[in-house]
Amino acid sequence: MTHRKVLSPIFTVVVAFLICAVILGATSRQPRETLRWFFLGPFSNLYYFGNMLAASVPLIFTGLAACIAFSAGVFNLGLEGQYYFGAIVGTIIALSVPTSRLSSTLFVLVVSFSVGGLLSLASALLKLEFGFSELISSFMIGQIFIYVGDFMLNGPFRDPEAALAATRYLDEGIGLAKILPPSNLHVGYVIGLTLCLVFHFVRKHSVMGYEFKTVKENPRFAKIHGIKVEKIWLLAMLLSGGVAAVGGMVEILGVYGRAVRGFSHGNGFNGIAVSLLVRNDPALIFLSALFFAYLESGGEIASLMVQTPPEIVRLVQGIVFCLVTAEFLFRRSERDADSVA
Amino acid sequence: MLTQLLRSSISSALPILVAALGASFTQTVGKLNIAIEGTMLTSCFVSVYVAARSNSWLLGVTIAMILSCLMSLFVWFLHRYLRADIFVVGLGVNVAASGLVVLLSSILLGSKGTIFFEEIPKIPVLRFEALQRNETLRTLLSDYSVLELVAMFVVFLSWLITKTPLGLRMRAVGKNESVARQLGLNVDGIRISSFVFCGLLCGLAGSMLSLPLGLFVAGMTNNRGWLALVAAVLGGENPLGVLGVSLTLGFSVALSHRLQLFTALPAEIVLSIPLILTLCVVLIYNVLKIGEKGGSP
Amino acid sequence: MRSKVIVQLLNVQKTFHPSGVRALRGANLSLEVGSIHALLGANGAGKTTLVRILAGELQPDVGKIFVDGKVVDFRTPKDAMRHGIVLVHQNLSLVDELTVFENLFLGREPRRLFFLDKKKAEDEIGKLCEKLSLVALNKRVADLSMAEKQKVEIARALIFGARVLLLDEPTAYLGGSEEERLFELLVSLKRTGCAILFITHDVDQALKIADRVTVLREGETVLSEETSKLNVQRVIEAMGFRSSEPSSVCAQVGEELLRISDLTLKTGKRLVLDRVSLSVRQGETVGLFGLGNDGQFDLLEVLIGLRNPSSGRIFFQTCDITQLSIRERRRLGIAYVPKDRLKEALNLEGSILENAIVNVYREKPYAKFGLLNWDLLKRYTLDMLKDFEVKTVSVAQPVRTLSGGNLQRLILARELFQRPKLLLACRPTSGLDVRVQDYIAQRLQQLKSYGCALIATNDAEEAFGLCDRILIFSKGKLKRVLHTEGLAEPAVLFSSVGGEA
Repeated sequence: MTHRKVLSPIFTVVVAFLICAVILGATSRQPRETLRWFFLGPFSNLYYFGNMLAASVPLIFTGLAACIAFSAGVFNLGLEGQYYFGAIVGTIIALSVPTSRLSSTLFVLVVSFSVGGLLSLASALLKLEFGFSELISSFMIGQIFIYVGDFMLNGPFRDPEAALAATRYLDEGIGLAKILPPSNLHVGYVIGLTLCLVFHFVRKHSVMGYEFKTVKENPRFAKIHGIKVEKIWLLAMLLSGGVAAVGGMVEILGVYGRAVRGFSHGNGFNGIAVSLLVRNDPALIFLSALFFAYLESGGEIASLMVQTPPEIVRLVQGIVFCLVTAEFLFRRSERDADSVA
Repeated sequence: MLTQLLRSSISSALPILVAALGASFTQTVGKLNIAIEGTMLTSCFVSVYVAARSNSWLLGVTIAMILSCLMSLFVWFLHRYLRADIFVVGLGVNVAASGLVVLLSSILLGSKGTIFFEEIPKIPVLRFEALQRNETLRTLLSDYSVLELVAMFVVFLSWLITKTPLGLRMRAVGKNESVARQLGLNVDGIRISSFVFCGLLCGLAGSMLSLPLGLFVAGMTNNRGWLALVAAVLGGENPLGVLGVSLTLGFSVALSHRLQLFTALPAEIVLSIPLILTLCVVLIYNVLKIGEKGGSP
Repeated sequence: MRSKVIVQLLNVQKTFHPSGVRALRGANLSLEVGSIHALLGANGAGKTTLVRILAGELQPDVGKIFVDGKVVDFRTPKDAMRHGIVLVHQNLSLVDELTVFENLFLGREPRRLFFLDKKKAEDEIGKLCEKLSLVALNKRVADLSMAEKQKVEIARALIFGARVLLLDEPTAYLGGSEEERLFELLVSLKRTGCAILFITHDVDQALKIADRVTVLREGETVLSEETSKLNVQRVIEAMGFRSSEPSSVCAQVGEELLRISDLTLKTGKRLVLDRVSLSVRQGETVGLFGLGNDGQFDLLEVLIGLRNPSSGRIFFQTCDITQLSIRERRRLGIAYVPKDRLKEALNLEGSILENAIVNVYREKPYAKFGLLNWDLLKRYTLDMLKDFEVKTVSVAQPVRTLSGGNLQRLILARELFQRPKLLLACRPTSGLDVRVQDYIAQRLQQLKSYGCALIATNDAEEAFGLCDRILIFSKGKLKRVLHTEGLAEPAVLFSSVGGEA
């Protein structure tokens, strides 16, 4: 049982690497160079390494966000929208508060949390009130708010001097401190890790954690024994959307310094795979986030050095998605498990 | 003006409808395939590329359909034999497809942006001379491309399939798998056939987006696959229901195109209109359904 | 004239995994062409397992099946069907969402070109439908009554070319006249050369209809004889009905704990409960009995708070609990054992510990400041398991590794350990062996000294074995009250409902 728990994700990762290598090798004119940059690039110097860690920060948040929803047995497919829109609203607020105070950074994070949380809460309410699957509604609401976010960046809140659709830069004072300059790694990494560990503890040792687990595993059982299933679902969705949005805001505070159109580029969505890869174990999310960030950094470096199309990474991420819930190792045949009906 | 809007609604609805019917087949057997968006996107690219290279649109459509059929079977294979979550696999195919098409277009055509295929064979358009005199009739009933007519025929065929023993068996498998097994139905075979249908239909739907325009962009499907899923979920097993919802969605897509052309609304807002309208449709539908039941859910 | 044996079972044995229940320990049976055979036995004697093996749904561990004198090996129901053996399930195997017609032909659709040939199909079954008085071919099966559904199943079996028809408790859901008609049908089928085996609890019925009777007891065939040579007494003895032991302590009946007045429950247009009023006192065990789903289970769901009644009030002790949540009701001392043991009463994904603490985890001292005290909870669980004799290796063990009997002990332990005032239980002894049944009866006996119990069931024997007073439900209405004292056997219950219907 535990064997399979450990081996299956490793197997997925190995398969993903192999497929990645094959595609790179087949499509590149200088396969050896490409493979070297792709796989070893992120480790070639401290700058690249720091950037890779930094790239895993948003994934830690969105992975945790997905994990929170999964922990209560709901699906949040609107992570991308919550991540993107929550951060944009946060940025706009940040532009109008006094900077260089810790309290304003916190305030901005709370704002993004609420915005993202409200978006996901909406789909949870749709599920409870109208029985409409949160899968589809969260995705659609997320998409709608990606468009709305695009509109805000391109229209009313666009910095007229910027070459692309983006807000003004935030003051440096409000941003998160760097850890490994000149790379992008910032304090957000620590915040993300801490949140993961907190949630890990909550799941294992709190009343709420027990209720989440029970609702996920058997909502009918939970309801019969007095657990307020609806409340748990709402709470899980709210937290999930909120954490995703905080992830987006941390990314802006730590890396971008302003909201740029399309800055989310799949980070929200990938959170789902990040969480699934480690079987929704919050204590391990940082590892799978690192794996995704590694692919992404490798792709970026390879495209810089040998002009490989970075979309390969998306392809590989997709394949990881496909394999992440598969069971490669054969389970014992469960014969004769027929109950005495 | 209104008739034109209606006409473009029909044209916008057709690809959604075809894909929705595909999804509806998999929903009928109880295994909704959500890889529609990615499958459509891939066949968008494949059909237009093959058509341009072979100078035959028919070959383009055929290859696209075969390929998307394989994609659909891939989803089924992972779910059935590796016990992967069919939902997550579907997401994965969508993500992978969005990378794959750009990768392919940059390798095969050396460009990642909008690609125009200038030598693409024109798809014949059917004109009904008898209708040419009346403006309204002409707009509504004539000048459909062969591809659109094929799509309409396919829609009709899908409806027919629900009337065959196979259609009946699909419903039985979806509603009560264990009874179906007890009666000795080949449950796996029936599910595979529904995934084959789904693939074929998505292939056709994808081709319908790119071939008539003779171009390809990475964001070409623009959430149509998801709209199709909504249509399939709302319409249920009833092809007429799927038809109704798809037409509504087609209308909202057509409307958003019009608004983009004729008003000063920002593009981002216009793009989100189909989604917003869809959400409203869903809400109204669910409110009505609950009202009908007349009790707490 | 000796008739020809068509199916024979020799020394069939079957043990279920992982529960380890030995359902069959050596069953023998032979069916003859053109005869009706009744299979009798107490609950858990292995009757259903036996017919499922005959129908190819289960494979025996030991033993042989002969059809037409040749050994056969049924891997799937299809194999059995090929030999003309079809089982009509107790919980019928029809697709509710399809029409009668579609159900009849599912898997054997006559076709013209590629399409369902409805006309040909209708011609094919016209006579049969007439015989079974099956008319509503285009109705959805979900809208049919139990009796009609059963007819559809039988019709389907015949269309499939059944020569051996196995019926698992065909009369369980039928009213008196419907029952008559079913038996007329069986007799006429017998004349056409069918072999029919039916399971029943009802000895009178078996002796009246069947040509031959076989009795199973704890998985073994203990009697197989022609009906003419049998009498009721012998059969009942063979079945091994425990002579109803007089309840050891006649507990004192105390204050009124539960009172329900005019409780009505509607789902959509259907009236599930129709103005039910009753009252239960401390020291009482009251049975709610109905032949099928006659509202008795729904009543318990309303009482625990899973569903809101459309009208009416519920009083517990002195307070009105109609509006309280499940959690609040449980706090007041109401416990509930739901109907579906594996899907509702247990969280099969969780450990024993997680299943055991679900009623107390949030109470002090087990939880403080939102954090759980796992050490305390573990100790609580161990105490509970010890008190209720649940055999486990460790509390962290997944609950699904427990046997059926131990699972039920665990469920009961969880609900009774906090000494509730009122226990609501659905079918607490179903599917369990005699030992566990006795254990549960004994625990309920103990409950009487401080509380009371409501037992909802559709099993007459269970109602008789556990309750002092039985309230009989029919279609959501409370029909009459029976005091078990002085009643001889469960069969009375059936006739008493039949008379009303």
